[in-house]
Amino acid sequence: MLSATDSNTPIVVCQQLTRIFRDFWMRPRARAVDSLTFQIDKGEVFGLLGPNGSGKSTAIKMILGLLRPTSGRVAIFGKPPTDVATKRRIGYLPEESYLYQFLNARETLEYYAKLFEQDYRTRERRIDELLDMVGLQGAQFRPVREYSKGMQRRIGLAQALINDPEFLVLDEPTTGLDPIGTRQVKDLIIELGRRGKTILLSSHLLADVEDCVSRMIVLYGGQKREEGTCESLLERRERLLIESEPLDDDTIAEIDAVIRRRTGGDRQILSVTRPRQKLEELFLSIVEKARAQQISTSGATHGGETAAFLKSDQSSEIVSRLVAAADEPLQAVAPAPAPAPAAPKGPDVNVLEALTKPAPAPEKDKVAPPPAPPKDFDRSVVDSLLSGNTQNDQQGPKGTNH
Amino acid sequence: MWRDFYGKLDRVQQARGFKIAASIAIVLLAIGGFVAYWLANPAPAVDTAPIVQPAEVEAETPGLTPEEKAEYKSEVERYQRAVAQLMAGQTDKTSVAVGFAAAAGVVVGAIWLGLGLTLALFVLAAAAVVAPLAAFGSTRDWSRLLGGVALLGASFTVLMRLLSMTFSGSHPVLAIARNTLAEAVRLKLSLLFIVILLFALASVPGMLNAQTPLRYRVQSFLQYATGGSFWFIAVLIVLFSVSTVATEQRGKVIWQTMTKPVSSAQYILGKWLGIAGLAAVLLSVTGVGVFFFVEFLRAQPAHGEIGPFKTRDGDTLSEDRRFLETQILASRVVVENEPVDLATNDPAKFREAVAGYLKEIHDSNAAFDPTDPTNQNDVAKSLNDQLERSYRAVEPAPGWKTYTFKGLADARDKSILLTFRFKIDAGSNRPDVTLKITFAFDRIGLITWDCPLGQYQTITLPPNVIREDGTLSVGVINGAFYGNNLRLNAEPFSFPKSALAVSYSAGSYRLNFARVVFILWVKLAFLAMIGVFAGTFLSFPVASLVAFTVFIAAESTNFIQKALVVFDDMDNKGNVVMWKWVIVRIAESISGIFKLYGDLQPTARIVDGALLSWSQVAVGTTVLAGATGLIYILAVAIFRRRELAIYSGN
Repeated sequence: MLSATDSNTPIVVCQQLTRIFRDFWMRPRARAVDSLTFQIDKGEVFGLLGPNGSGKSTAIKMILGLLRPTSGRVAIFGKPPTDVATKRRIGYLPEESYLYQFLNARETLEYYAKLFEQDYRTRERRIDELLDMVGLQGAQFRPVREYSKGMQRRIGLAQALINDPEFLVLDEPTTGLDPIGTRQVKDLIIELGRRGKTILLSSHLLADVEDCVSRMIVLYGGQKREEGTCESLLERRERLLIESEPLDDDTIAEIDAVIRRRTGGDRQILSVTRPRQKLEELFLSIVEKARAQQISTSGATHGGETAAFLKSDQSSEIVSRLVAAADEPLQAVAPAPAPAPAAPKGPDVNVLEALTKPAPAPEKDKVAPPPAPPKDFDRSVVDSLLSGNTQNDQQGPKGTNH
Repeated sequence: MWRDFYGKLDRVQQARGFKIAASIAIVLLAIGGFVAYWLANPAPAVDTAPIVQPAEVEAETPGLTPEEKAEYKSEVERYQRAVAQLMAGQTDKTSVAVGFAAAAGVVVGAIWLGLGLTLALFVLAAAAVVAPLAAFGSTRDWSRLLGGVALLGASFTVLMRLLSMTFSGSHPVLAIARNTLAEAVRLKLSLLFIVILLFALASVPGMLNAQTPLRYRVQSFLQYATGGSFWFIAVLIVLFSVSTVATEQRGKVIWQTMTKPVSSAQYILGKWLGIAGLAAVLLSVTGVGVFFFVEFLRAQPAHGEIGPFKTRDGDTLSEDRRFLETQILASRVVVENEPVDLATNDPAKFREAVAGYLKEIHDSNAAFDPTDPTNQNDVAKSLNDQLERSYRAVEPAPGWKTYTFKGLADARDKSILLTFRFKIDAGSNRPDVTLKITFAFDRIGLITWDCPLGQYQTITLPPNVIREDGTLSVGVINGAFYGNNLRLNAEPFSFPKSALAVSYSAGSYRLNFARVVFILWVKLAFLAMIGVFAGTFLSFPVASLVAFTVFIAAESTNFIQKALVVFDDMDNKGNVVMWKWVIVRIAESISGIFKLYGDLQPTARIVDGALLSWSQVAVGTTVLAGATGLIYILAVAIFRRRELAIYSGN
């Protein structure tokens, strides 16, 4: 048996994992997961990608012990999924927020914190930080049943983080969230990943995965179709993107002429377009303006910075005070030409890094660094993988912005 | 806006300074109230008039020697003194002081639970509604009802807060228990149950007929309030215990709990603890309500009284009062007559009778196999039942029977008066018919009784009727002496099962009531575990059905036992009827499994003033706790194997 404290121990090991659902007469009804083998190493942000019904959630439930595999083996921190002590190190956000509707947000977090036997002071501090982080401080005493789906998702995320988990399992974390919430969740995942946390991110929303994960597998029909880093799966070597200030037609024609001349007529500019602002960026800028005008809302607010206790395992109180002093909302995303989610933003993170011991860097030979995804890339590669239609790969890119 | 207001209010009442100041104010108020009561109620002269004239008893005991009469008289006087003490307690300032202190203690407790202002507002709101209603005769009953509901509601709030604080520790079991409590009071179904319970309990006093004797009013109230509340709470507990586990699985909320460091054993224990706590709170509220209303009824004039404990003719104890104080608001040891068991007492004779019976059946039905052990057992059982019924009947010829009561040495040693209680059935129990029957007791001799049919009667006996070995023999004659001539009745009569008993006081009613409430809680805790167990692996409807079946089976054990006595699995020719045989076996199994559960009979005991002894409480608690523990282990074993991501109900 592998030691759970061994730094080389994979966090999750799945070997030939199979789950067959049977009907009342024990006849096989559905093979949800089929001979799935993969492992998640310490410090990885691991993506589980696939369309609806591809077996992502079933695999996660087997990892967490909510389902038993029909065959195969699964170990988490080197222990069986049913090991209760191991669960102290895990945070889990299901694909929907299954919450006690009669509790309010604060009581919900108190309940889950007590399951970890957290003392009063730690519990209260973490709850405050998490409520601030997910933007529910103002709605913390409202019953959860009155929450919108997005607000419930936020409190669901907060409960998954209440124990500062070493291993975080997020099943469709951005479902139901508005663009701001989605942005925050992505930022959070990236930051946690940079801090050395291991994250299993399951999603069928490609943008979620591509922005965050360091490595992924793609499932279809319960089987693994592809596995690799984002870089290796998404890079398109047959295309090149050049971005510049606006140019007149003559200049463009001149550049095209240069390209043709230097390649002997083999290469040329394929298309020239003006980059459009993404809808997400437009939305964020509108909300920013509304906030600046102090327009009130009964829903979730923009949320605060990442909870201090999630940022470092040490000196959390000092960090909390220091971060609280720098009361600059992390999510105050100014409209930017293009999102750069991979790069941690805001002065607080820098302060944090400077004043606390940095989290150990992931081993480079094992784990790819958190990605800085290309601002534009061709999603059709992943789309084709998900659809199982390999023909698309041959058809070249579509809708590439230049 | 309301939330903000309550938020501010809550902050004030949670402040230490407020708690100290409010506590001091309450203590001063209590002291002031007691002093005012003291000044307004000077000590009354103690009425030493005899309570019961023994003359009528002497008239019925011609066989007594002067010494025996003197001894009996002294026993009656001892009884009179006991009653006089009881009456003196009605005006005892110490008990009033204790009452003031207890009330102050409860209020101070509520203040320190952080509910001082909440309750003050609650009382003000209730008073604003109740006071105007109380001012008019036509709405006075409503004011009493709403006042009662408000009082019970306030008690419920305080106790729930207390329990919630008890479960506030940072441990999975306590967290789950507290969460379960919150679920109970915040979900509509259980909250509706609780509100109905409070209204129903508060409305019971209004249903009592003021014209009926006080003892019957008290008995009716105890029966409906205690028994009804228990059933109501039991239904809630069974439903809620099933619901909280089953719906948590169906709604998948359990996923987030069981992916935390919570074992199956902790989860189930936490759920049970929360439900058992809720049962304790509800029982405490109803128990306290019942107890205080009984005390209120006790302070009302009984039949034949011009005021509480005061009769018009100078006697200080009316028949109604005497019955109430000695039979109902009492804690009596009840000893039934020794059952006849021919199989044990005279095996040879019994075997002979069984053989004769078997032969008789075989002669009339050649298909009947007298050598079949099943047939033999059935016949033996049937014969014994017949003998037992025959034993309880007194035929015109020879016209008498002797019944023995054992285990009365304690009453004799402590010189405690006995109550001989009986009821006779004859024919169709016509209400206009009475039978003259005669009882013969050691030392006393004969007592003739003009006995109505189907109604309980009591005779108070001195302890010296008990023999040295602690047994009491009672001769029952189906007739009466007229001079030296015995005139027998023409028709037989019988004592129904458990309708012939001797009892004596063995403790206080109040303590007995507390024991009864505790046993009721033990039963509810057992039912809660049954519900949780069923909810772990069955869908809500199926689990509810299972849990209710167990509950009904357990509660009807006594009825099943009585029914089995008269239910025969053979036809007229002695052949075993298969479907009857199956029913009997099932009924026997159920009554066997839940025998102790049924034998405890806490509600019946408190209504009849029968003692529920500490030893019975200990045995009952041990057995039911053991059963609860076994079911818990079974529930954990099943739950551990459950795949929570698959809901069985779909």
